[in-house]
Amino acid sequence: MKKRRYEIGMSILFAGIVCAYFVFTFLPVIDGLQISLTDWNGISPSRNFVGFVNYSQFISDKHFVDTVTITLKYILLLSAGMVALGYGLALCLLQMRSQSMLLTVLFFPHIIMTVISCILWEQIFNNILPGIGRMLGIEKLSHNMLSSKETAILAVVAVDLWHLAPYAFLILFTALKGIPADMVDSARLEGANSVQLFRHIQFPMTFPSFGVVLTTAITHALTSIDTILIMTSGGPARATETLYFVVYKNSFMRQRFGYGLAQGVLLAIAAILIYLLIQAWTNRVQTEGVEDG
Amino acid sequence: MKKMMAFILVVMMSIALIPECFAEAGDGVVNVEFFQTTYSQAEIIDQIIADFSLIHPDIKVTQINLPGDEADTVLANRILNHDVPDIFNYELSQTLFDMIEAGILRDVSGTAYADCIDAAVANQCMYNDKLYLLPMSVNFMGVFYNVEMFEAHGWAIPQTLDELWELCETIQGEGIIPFAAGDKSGSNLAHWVQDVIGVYCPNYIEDFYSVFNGNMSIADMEGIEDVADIVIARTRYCQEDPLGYGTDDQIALFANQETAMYINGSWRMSKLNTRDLAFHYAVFPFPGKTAEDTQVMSSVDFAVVTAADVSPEKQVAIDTFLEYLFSDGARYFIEVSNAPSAVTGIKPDTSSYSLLLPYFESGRIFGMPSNCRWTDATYSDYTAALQNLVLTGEKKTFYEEFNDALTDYGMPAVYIH
Repeated sequence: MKKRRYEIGMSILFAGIVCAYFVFTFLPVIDGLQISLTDWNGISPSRNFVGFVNYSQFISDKHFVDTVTITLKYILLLSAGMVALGYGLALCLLQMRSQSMLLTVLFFPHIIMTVISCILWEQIFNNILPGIGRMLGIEKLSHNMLSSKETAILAVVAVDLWHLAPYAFLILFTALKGIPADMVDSARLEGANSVQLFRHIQFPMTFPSFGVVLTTAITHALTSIDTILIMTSGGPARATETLYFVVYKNSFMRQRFGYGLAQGVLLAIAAILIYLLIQAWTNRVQTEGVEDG
Repeated sequence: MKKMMAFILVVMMSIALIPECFAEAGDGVVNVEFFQTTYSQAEIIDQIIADFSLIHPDIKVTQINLPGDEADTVLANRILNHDVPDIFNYELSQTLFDMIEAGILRDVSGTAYADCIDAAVANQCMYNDKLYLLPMSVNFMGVFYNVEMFEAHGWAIPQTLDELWELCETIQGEGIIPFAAGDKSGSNLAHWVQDVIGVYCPNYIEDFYSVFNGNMSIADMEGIEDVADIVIARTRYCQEDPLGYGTDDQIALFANQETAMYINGSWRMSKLNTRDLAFHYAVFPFPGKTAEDTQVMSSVDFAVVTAADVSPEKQVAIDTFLEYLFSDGARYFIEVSNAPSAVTGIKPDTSSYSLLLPYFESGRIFGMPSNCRWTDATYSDYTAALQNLVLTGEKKTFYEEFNDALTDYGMPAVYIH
């Protein structure tokens, strides 16, 4: 009887969650798909059906290749940076004594609001870095990185890394700490150096966490525009217009909701494909690791 | 028992999440929402609302004020969800006409507060012979300069373009940056270049019409090469990396006396006025090739619209507030912002822009070229083309991109002078 009541209660709660998901996620997706086939401007009561015109327009847009290139650059730089910094900081901290205190210090940038981070970094790019660049004679650093088409995206990635790398570091640090100490000790006794230790033990053992960090980085690059909006507004001259920014720009700044949503649908399809590819790759690597092990 | 308590807690938390907006104000007080889309004027409106509430305690006006560009996004979202604010400030644009066509905005022609508006300014705002947009102030574009710095160095106000560049050379020679630029904010650059287009392209209205129609390209537009040259030249006389600086940075550079001048519109004066300046500023018009060619760009600045679909009780409250806003409220607004007034009978302190008054008095003013009803998409691409010109100095690419900005999105639905 108790078990029955428990099951009924759980079913009711589960039904509530499914309803909420249906109403707040599934229905808007269907509505969005519908709007992407119209020329709706977000204001007019009428939505004229235009078929797949929005989709073909986006793919044939003269800026399409540039937008995809910038997005891919953003994804690659952010992913590589998060993994490298995450592992780098985690491995360094593993060797240290006051880990708790340092953990707090290293995680601090992640809890600062994005807006505050961006304002802070704007001043660094405007005043501090150019001064350091001029002092050291580094030409690329002697100018405001945000004002150049070549370096603006690097500046955006740097700010995002400052904000997100602590998160990656925490995930990877926790995973590294979970590796049995005797495994590490055995490897060292057999003469493994740090690189060999990382390559043959630490990286394989933390591979699932590596997958999480990679997915986080790619998801952020595909679906976040806070940093770009605040620091560059997609400029200078479109140099930081990622796919998601273009979706936002066309929908909210240009009042072309139909077109923006079509871009959003294509972006969602690309994101799902990328996610599936990563999942397949990580599963394959893990399976091969189990077979080898 | 524990499970029951947990269930009750969950239900109570769920009820607490129900939005408070379902509850109407009690005790006969009517709520009116003023949605501010330009955060620089929020403080002025706050004071007006506070003064109004002393006289009309039965009407509670609340200003919703969001920073930066977020207000536009939130407004767009709210309109999507049929949650139009009771009153909000907006601008003359294609989007405004889209909203009028969608029936979102109320026709205020013939109301007592609409009759307070200067006829010439009201005429600019008419749509199909009806008034939806209520302007309170008009704006102007000009070159803001540090009066004490000019006097101390004996620099004269330039009357022609050549004199302006000579002045910039002189200023640079004395180790001072002539202009503060804020090109990261696309609108700063875009608005200023519209001023230059109006002065240097005598047939800009007809020529834009021809470009829209595909009968000519921007490269053939009379005066466009002068415009491009002026943008490139100005980049030589501003601080390094102008695309890394936004509006606030631009004003800070000028306010901190790191530059002698900055080019912007009167809509930024209220931001400048809130700073504790150690000097006086004044404005002169961006000069033409000759003194006779010089004109001033002026358009509707602060203006409000009201929602069409409100209850009769709320409509009365909105009308009461608007009557106050366009009388005592306007007096305060103009006094603090110093902007030229669109409301009759209100004279601002024009000492900071006295050099522009002869142009207003003699009719040597023109509206924003984008008032040829460019779409938001056109404006956005035009801005990107300008930023590229500042970066690269390549005029041919600028003409191509500007041309595409005009032709890619078709001719605007409404085309007026």
